[in-house]
Amino acid sequence: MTAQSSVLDRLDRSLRGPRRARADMLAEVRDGLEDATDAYCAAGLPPAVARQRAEEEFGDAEVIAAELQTELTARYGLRSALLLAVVLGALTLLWDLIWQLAPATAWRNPGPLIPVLSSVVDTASLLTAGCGAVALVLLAVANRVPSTWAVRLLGWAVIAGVGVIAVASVAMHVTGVPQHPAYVPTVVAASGVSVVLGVWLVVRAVRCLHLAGPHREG
Amino acid sequence: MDASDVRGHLDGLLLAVLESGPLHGYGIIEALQRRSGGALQLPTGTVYPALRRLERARWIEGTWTVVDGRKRRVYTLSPAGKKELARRRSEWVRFTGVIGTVLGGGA
Repeated sequence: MTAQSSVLDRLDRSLRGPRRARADMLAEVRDGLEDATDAYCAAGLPPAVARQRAEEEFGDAEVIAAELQTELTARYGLRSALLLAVVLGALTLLWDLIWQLAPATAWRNPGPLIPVLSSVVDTASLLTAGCGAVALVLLAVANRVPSTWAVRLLGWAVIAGVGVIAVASVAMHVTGVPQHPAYVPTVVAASGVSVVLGVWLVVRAVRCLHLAGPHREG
Repeated sequence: MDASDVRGHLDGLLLAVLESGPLHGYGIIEALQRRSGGALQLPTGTVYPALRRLERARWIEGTWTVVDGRKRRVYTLSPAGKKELARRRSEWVRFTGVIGTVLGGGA
């Protein structure tokens, strides 16, 4: 094992996050170490000594790995916040469309609970989207707020928001299942899409919390 | 001058180095050492996360480009980065002015 590869191995072992971004960072560090080695070789050092010098000047690989990890986490958080905005917006439009296009006879008499549950879903969606927007802004002003705070906020907001939306949505469907036979497949398909996207958001949120856990600061 | 002296100023130094044109990671490290007359001795590894942080703030833009037959990630100062550099410069001038006045002695 060369001196250079030991730095890269330590970074490779430490870094967690989006695969492409992680590979991108490792490739950049590898290029930098190769450039430094070439420069020392050009200055007359033997290749092995040049490699060792390049690694020594790189610094503490664990410290650099922690700083790179902060950036990987922030990147994952930024992408998750953008996806949250797209998915929540799309699902809200989808269900508004379904409710508006449904024939009046399509729904069982909803009773007083449906408007309340509908408000709960709308409020939870708005609050979750709001937290996503706050996280997005915090992650964009990179140097002023520790990015792990923003990613944690995003993770908890998505888990809580999607949880509330899921419970309220199930309650709405239990009390207001569509009666019109032609309309049932539409609602089942939309529910399936909503469940898949909701689970996907929660999986990303859990990953956010894992990447930005209390052991990682920055 | 070691890394602890530079801490807090690294972002501004990187923006200043990129003002003269696009550079890749090691090119930036070389430019920092050249422009400081070899006085800046920071661990070269600290530059890479700092570049990613500046990129996230949209002060620089990074793209993979072939340089001298090798694929490298090259960074360019963005318009927002130019504004940030100007802001940091004026802040630095004000800061050094105040400190200089106090350290310089006088009444």
